[in-house]
Amino acid sequence: MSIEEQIEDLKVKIIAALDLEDVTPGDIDPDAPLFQEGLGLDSIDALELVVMLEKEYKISVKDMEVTKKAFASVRALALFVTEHQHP
Amino acid sequence: MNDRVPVITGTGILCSVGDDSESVWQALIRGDSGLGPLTLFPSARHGLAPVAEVTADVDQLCGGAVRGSRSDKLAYLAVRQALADAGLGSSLGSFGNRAGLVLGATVGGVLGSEEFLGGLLRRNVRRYGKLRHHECASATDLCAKAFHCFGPTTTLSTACSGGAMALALAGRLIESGAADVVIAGGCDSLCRLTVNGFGSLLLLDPTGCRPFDLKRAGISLGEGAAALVVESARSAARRGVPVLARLTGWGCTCDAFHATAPDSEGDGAYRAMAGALRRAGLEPAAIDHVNAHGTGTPGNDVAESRAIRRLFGSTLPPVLSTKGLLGHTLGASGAIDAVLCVKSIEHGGPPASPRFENLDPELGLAPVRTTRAEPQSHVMNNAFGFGGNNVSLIFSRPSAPGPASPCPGGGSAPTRTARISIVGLGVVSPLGNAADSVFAACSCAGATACLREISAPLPADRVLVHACSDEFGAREAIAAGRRRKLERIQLMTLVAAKGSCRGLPLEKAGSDRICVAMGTGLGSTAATAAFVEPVMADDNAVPSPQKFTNAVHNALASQVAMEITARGLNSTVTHRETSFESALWHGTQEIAAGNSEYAVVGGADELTPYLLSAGARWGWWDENTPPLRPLSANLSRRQRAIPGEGAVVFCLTPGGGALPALAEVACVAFGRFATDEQGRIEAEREAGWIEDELANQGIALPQIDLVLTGTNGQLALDDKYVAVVAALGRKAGRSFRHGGYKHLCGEYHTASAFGMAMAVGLVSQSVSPDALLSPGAACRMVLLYTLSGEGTRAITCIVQTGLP
Repeated sequence: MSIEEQIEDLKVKIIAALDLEDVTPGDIDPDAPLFQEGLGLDSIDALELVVMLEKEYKISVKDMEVTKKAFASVRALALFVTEHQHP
Repeated sequence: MNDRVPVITGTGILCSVGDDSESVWQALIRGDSGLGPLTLFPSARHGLAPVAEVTADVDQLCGGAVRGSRSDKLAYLAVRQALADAGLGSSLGSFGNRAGLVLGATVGGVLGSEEFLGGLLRRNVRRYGKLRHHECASATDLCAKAFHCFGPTTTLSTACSGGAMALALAGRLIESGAADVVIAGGCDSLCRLTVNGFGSLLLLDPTGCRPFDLKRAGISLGEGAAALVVESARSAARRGVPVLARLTGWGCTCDAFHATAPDSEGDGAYRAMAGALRRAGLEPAAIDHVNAHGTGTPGNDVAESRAIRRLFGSTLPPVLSTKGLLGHTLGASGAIDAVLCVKSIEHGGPPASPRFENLDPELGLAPVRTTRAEPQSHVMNNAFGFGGNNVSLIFSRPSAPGPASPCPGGGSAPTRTARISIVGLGVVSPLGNAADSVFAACSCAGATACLREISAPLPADRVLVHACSDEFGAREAIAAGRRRKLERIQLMTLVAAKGSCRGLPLEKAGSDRICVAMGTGLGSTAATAAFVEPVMADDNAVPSPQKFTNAVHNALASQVAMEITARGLNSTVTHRETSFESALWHGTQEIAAGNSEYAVVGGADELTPYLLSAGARWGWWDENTPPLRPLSANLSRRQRAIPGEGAVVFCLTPGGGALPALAEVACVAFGRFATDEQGRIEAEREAGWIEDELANQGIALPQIDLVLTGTNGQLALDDKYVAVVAALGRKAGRSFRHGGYKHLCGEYHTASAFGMAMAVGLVSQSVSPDALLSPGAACRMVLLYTLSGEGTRAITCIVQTGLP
């Protein structure tokens, strides 16, 4: 899967995991910050995304420090998933 | 010493390191750790994180005679010990209505509910008996029955500050004269909900909790219970028992910041500590040590140390946290630490803070490294919960010099409380969601539009319910970003709370002068089930952290606080049918004590699948409901109730203010009723209690125009109401009109909040009294009387504004 495809895949999964009604994949800028501004997500949303990573990609995150970089934007998350996903 | 100074005369603890207060204190001095492997249930995901489990045989300690959840039994053992320690034996019966009981609890009997779900999901068996002790109130009712306690009895569910808030409430009950002795404490057993819940928040330290340490990585969960006998100085002197400590200060605040994380500036924690000092009349320098909340999470320890540094400046008192030893016992922790504060006054202190090694420069605070045995005059105890529910307590040596107690009054009758004005009302109900539409529906006898037939998911039968419309205004009232995260019951509550404050100048009062007190019988069982179901189906499941935060009962009041920016006391009460009245008492007392300018007070419960199924199994619900019943005493000799739901919230201010009032609250009181050997309510005694409580507030019984009760069609309950209303008539020399409200809103734990809305409508002439009283008769004063199936009762008196 290319990074662009991974980004689109993640957008759908983020919307589902966080119940973002009224948000479509097209609304999400892959380079915009995921937290604070942008989608207005908070720390529990970040934990929901940790759950999503485990359920959807079998990537286990034990420490939120890791996510500071990975959750910077959807593109950053796509790179993180690509790096950590087991084949 | 002033008559009504609350003093401590007995303590009890059961936890991982010991089964009485003295042995727990000695373990703390020795530094014996309670942390070890989890054995209570398997946890593939979190089983390696150490926990502080109670390893003693709890059933054996109870003597095998106690029926209840593990949490209930822990509470029973702690309360039994505290009573014995205070020289009260095993009965408070001689105190009559003057002995109260307040416990803080977070999970109640969820351990049993998990087993119910496990049986259902893995083997398709329905062991409904496992749900019998689900409610947090179960522990309180068990202890109140066992030890013959008939005074104010209730259960607080403010998460990790519950045990400490129980002490603050007990202090207020004593100070206000509502009781002479109150057993206050907290309890929580380990369960999958909290182990997986804190796990899902990544807040379990895999190596064990290290409070204030640079390398801290979260909590270790523990379990246990503690209880303290809080007594008026007059009562202790009369009994001639030694006073262990005085409860001189308490401060309760809310961050109104986030569902789980504390405000990193620690402002709420600071205000709680400063409030406790103010109430005790002490300067910060008088505090000999702080028994901190100190959970070992990165966030708590930052916020708390900031607050401590701000309050104490450059000369910090010794600080310690017991959680490296005892784990975080959630609802019990504030009470366990309170007992240890009292022990430090008795034995000298402070003890060393367990498991601290590395100073964190960001905290700028090193906890006590070596145990000392210096005399302790004034000791502070902090407990902070989810939703920013902060409590700080101060215990003082009986002989310690200090300013005169601020407690007014004396004697043994409650102080007359000034009238409280009801200036706002918000409703989400089966009858509609605008106060006017509800009033209109209450006026007509045939309000049936709300009846709906739905399927209870487990048994195949169908149940007729009074359900709220799904379109109750959440979309309009609550921002999408918050709405998507919350449960239906929380949205119902937020809509009602915003409705109650609409058009009122709350911001002028300042956010720290607004308190919130919410009652709920069951909280969000939907969120609890949604979180626990996947865990019970698959031990290695990854449940939703959002569901965990929503499952905590005090999400109700703390979400309201965030929505309306209320930073005063934040209390969530979970005590069955009297949850709302206890919350109302808490809110009106905050106003009476001068702590709050506004109190936002309400009750909310929702219909959920498991409740409908369990209720159907237990024969609660009516299968053949006659659709029409009159508004007046609906005593049509039925056997069963119709389930219902709703959220009703009131905004209260001191009486006689500039804002137009819908009505006034003249009296709120709660306690437990007595029964005879056949289990019948002692109606004459009840009527006497009601007459006395009204008289304490300057109301003569014959002034009451109407009695509204929680009659619901269940004969056993309705007969109690009828007997008491008849006895009231004998006392007053005339019979009272008796009406109900559950034929309109259905049966749910906090339906009496709906009843109070109806009473407000009646005395403000928004609801026609014709269906209830003789045509043309005035309705100026309504008495609400509520009973729970487990023995608690409450009254509220609503009067026309300005009525002398």
